Amino acid sequence: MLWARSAIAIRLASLYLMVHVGPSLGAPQPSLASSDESCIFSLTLRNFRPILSWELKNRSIVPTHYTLRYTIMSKPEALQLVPECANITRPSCDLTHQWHNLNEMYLPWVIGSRGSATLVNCAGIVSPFVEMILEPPEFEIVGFVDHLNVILKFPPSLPKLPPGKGLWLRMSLSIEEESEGIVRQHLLKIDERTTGNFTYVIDKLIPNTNYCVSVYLKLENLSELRSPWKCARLPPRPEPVSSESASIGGLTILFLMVAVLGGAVTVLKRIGYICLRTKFPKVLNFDDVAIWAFPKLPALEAVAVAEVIHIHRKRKVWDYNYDDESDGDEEAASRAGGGGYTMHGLTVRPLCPGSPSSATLGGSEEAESLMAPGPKPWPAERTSGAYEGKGTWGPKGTSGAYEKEGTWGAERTSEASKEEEEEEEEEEEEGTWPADPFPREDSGPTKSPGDRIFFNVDLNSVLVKVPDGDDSGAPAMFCLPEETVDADAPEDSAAGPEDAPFDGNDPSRSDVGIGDGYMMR
Amino acid sequence: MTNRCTLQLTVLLCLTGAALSVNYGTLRFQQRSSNSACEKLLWQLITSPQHCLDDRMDFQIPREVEQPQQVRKEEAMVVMYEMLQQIFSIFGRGFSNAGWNETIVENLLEELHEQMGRLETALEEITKEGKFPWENRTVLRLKTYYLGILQYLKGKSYSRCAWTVVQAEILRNFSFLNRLIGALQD
Repeated sequence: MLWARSAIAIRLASLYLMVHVGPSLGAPQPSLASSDESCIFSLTLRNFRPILSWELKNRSIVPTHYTLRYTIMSKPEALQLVPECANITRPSCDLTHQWHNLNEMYLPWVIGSRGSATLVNCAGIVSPFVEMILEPPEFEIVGFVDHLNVILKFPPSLPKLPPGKGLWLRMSLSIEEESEGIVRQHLLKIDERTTGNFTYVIDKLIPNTNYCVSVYLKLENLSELRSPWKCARLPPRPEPVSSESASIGGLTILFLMVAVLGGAVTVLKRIGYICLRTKFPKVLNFDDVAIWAFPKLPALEAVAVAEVIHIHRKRKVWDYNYDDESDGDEEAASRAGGGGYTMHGLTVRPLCPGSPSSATLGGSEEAESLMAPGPKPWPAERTSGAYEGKGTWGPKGTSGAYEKEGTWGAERTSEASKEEEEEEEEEEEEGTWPADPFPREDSGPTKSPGDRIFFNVDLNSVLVKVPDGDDSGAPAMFCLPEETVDADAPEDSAAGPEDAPFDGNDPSRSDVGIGDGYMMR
Repeated sequence: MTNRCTLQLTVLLCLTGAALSVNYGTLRFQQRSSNSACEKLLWQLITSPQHCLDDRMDFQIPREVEQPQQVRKEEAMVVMYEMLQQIFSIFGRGFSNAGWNETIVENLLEELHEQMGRLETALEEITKEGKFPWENRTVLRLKTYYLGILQYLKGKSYSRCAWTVVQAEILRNFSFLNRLIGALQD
C-alpha cells in the first residue's frame, strides 16, 4: 500500500519538473536540421538595402517574436545570428551588412516563438542574383514646356561596406517616358554618388503633350519591378513668333523712321533750309580791311518818269504811181496787229479824214520816243535837233518830202541814207541813244551792240508829240482815231491808241520800208 | 574602268566581311537570354539544401572567373565555352541517378548546347582572324576546378546532398557567366 502511494508521488513530481523546470534545463533546441519549409522567404532591395522578409504558410500560427540566423552554401560555415534581427516582432530583417554578395546562395533560418514556445522553425534558400526583388525608388515629375524633370528620391547615403561589396553593384536605373504610344528608355548607372534627391531631365519633348514616366532598377537577369506611371501634361509653348515678329517689326519701323528722319535732315541741310552756313569765306571778311581799300560808292541814280513818245513812221516806196496813195496805208493797216506791243514791226493805222488832229498832226507831225534812263534828263533840244539834223524823222525831211511832190523817191532816198549815216555817227559819238520807240518783247531796257539801249514800249501807251515849230502843214497820211495830240501840249506818257504818225513822204527811209517792219537807226 | 571595278570589289568585300564577322551585340543578347533560362531551370532542381549542410564543399573557382577584370571578348568567349562544356558534361553524368525531373534536365541540357553552338561559330571566326587566345591560363584553371567537382561527386558517391551542393555551385557558375557575357562588346 505504501509502495503504491510513493510511485504516484514520484510521477507527479516528474511531471511538475518537466513542465516547469524542463525548459530551463536545456530542452531540445530547434535546429536547422529539424526545420521545415513552412516559411516563404523573399529578398527585396529597398533603397539599396537588402530586406529579407518571411511569411508563414500557416497563417493560423502567429508568433510574437522572431529570430533570424543564416549560412551560405559555397563554404562549410556555421550558422550566424543576425544581432539586429534577434527576438524581433516584425517578420523582416535588414541584411545590408550581412548579405552583400550577389553571387552567393544564402540559407536563412527563422525561429518564431511566443513566449518560450517555439511556434515556427523554418529555413529556406535565397539566391539574390536569381530572385532578389529590386524595388523602384520614389520619384516625382515636373513638366515644363519642352522638358520633364524627374526627381528621384535616393537614400541620403549608401551603406558603408568594404570595396567591391554591396548588392547594388552593377545595378542601373531605367527611366521610361511614354507619349502617344511611343516609349523611350533612359538608363542611369548607379554608384556611390547616386544619393539624395537626384534630378534627371528629359528634354526635346513636344509642348502641350501628355507624358507618363515610370522607373525601375535593372540588375543582370533579375526581374524588373516597374513603378506606377506618373503623368503630366506639358504646358503649351508661348507664341514666340508673335513676340519675335513684334520685335522684328518694331526694329524695322524704328530703322525706317531713323532713315527717313536722317534723309529729311540731309535734304533740308542741302537745300539750305536749315543749318545755314554762318561762317563765310575769308574773302568776305572785311573786318580787317581798311576803308580806303574800297572806292567811294557812286551816288544812287535818280529815277525819273520817262516819257515815251512813240514815233510811227510809215515807209512807203513810191512806185511812181501818183494815183494810188492809199496802198501804203492799207499795207500798214494790214500789218497792224491786235496788240499794242511790237518788237520790230510798226503798227500803223489809217488816218481818219476830217479829223482835226490829222491836220494838226499832218506831215509836220513827229512822234518821238524818248526814254531817259540816265540821271540827266534827256535834252529835248538835242533830241529834236538830233532828229531834225538827221533829217530822217525830222520835220524838215518830212516836210520837204511832203512839200515836194514829185521829188519823192530818189532824192528822198539819198537824203535818207545820208541822214542815216549821220545818225549812226552821232550814235557812236554819244554812246547812248535815248529810246527805242519800238519796244521788244521784254519790257526792260536791253543793250545792243554799240552801247545802244532799247526799251520795250507798250504801243498802247505811246503818245504822239508834235515838235515845236514844225508847222509844215503837210497833209496827214494816217489816222489816229482814238487820240489826238496837240503838238504844243506837254509830252506825256499817257496810254493812248496806237499812234502811228505816218511819214510816208520821207524818202530817206524808203530803203527800210514797211514791208519788213524794221526800223534802222 | 579599272578603278571603278576595284572600288566595287572593295565595297563588296567590306560588306561581306561585316556580314560574316561576329555580331557581338546579337551574341550577347542570345547568350544572356539562354543563361537566364538555365538559371531558372537549375533553380527548380535544387530541393532542401538546409539538410545537406554537412556536405558543403569549397571548390575554389578561379578568381578571374569569380571577379573578372578587364577581360577581352575573345578570352571571355573561350572561358565561357569551357564552362558550358564542363557543366554540360557534369549534368550528363548524374542525369540518371539524381532523381531529377527529366523534363527540366533535358531543357537545361538543350539550352547549354545552344549556347555552346553559338560560341563555337564565334570562336571559329576569331580563329580565322588570328585572335584566338591560345595561351589562356584561365582555361587550365577551369579544367582543374571542374575536375575537382567531378572528384567530389565521385567521393560522395553521387549522393543527393552531393548533387545538391554541386547544383548550388553550378548555379553560381551561371552568375559568373553573366558577367563574362557583359564583356562581349562590339
